[in-house]
Amino acid sequence: MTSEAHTYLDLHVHSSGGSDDAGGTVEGYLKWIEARRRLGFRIDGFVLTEHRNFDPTRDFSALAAKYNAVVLPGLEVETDIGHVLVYGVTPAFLNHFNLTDVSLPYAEVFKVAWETGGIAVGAHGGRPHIGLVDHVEERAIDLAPISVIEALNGGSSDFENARAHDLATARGLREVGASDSHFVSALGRCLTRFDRRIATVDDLVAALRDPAAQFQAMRLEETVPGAVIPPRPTTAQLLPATSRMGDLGGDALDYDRSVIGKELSAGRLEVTAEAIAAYCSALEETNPLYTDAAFAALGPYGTIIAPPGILQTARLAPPPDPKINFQGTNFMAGSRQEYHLPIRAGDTLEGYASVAQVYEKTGRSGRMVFVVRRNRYINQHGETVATLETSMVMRETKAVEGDA
Amino acid sequence: MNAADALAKQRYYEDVSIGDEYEEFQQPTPEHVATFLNNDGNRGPDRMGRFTDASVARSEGLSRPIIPGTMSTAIITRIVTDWMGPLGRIVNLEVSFRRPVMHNDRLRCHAMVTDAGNDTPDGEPGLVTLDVTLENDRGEKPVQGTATVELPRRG
Repeated sequence: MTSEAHTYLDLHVHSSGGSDDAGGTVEGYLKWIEARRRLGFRIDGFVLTEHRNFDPTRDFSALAAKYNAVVLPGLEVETDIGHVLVYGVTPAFLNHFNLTDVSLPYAEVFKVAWETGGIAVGAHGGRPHIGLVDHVEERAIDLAPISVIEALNGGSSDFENARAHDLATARGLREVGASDSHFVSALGRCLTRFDRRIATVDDLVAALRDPAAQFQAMRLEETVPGAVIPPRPTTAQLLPATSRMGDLGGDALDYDRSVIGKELSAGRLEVTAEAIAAYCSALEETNPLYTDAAFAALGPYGTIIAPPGILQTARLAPPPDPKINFQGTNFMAGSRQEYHLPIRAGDTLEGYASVAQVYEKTGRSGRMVFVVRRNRYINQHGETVATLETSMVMRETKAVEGDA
Repeated sequence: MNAADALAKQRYYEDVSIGDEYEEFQQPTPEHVATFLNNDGNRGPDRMGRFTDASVARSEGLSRPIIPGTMSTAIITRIVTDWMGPLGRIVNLEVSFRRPVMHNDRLRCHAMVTDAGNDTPDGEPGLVTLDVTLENDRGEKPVQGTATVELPRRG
């Protein structure tokens, strides 16, 4: 069979337009495909499986065609046996579930997906808690509704992938591979080769539902013509797992929704030349635009400017308290910094603090609640110079090291 | 560093293409963490336990003290600023923490250009996009991010 009769698809990709923890844009992924192809790798397209939401109006077919690739719509939901990918999402499916629920009944998700003409696939099967292997081992869940699992996931460790592969081998499940990309350069790291042309989501669903269709999980290096595809490692060949997680529990998430987006005046930051010098000295910052007045005077801003990191030193008052009914250990989950205008020596910045978002999801450690706080800085001319968001996650306190 | 040395390391828009890579290595020690915490204006003493104290870290489910997220952000920001040179400008930087970074982890700080060279007309800002990651020697990528950077043009 010629390679044109095959399709290489990355079945699990998140983008910044649809997933809270992703940084890659759809066009960024497409450009990356183009660049990988120039190196001899084969990626024909990918499926956008955003976390806990599905926007039927998103259509990237024209953009994808420009790059001679396909971008298909999908979804990743969270169930009582871990995360589940859904392909062929229909209005009937969407009407059936609240996608933001992080503990959907899995049997129903698989059943309704199938009955509405789509298919559900167990995601990153070997990951603690959010993959189905844990639930098979601990609770002997019924696998009858499940025919396909993601047994090669670009975000999972080799051991986690081996756990999923072992389950698939033992229980006769079919295996797909996907990158689980959140950032552009991870796209295609793992993917699935189909024995047929797949140009639409209907083609994809038909292949995954068809017991006669051939498809295989693989790594990007294995898409090069003539590459040898080695057998996937089993857990017996790798090191033993280090941790086990418990069941989900606790009350539904509740908080004061009236505070979301409400900005409070939170303090003032005087950005003096002395303050810039002290900051640069502490952090061994050597950029002459920050440290050398004579150089800076000739530069693009005409004066010394502040390193962006100086905003991290502002002691702003906290935003309104959303009063969340969840206790746990707080960790920093992410940050997003946007720098709109330079901050010049002598500027006076006013800070405004708000809570941008509160939401819940599940990770390797169990239930997690995220709070995104936003600080906006306005200069003495009334211009917004920077917006900094910090996402904090409250995790259930358990003896684990990883999450997400 | 004097201005001439700094400028010698300047990167220009015309010289960057997709797939370009850049790396540095860092190994944050307990001493580095202590120095960072003393310089970090937002950090109250009640928040320092897990970053410095092994028993507090264990009580919170961590095998060892961890590096503060703000410090990981500073490390990842530094990759971007070192890569771009003094006349570059970070337009935005988005960072996601997937796992804790532990004390004494040997970190490969990696930047990879994912978008560049878009026939932007002269006079428009020359924007490039980078993926930035911290990778430990257990093969994990505990911190990942993406940055948009404005670079000067030659001539």
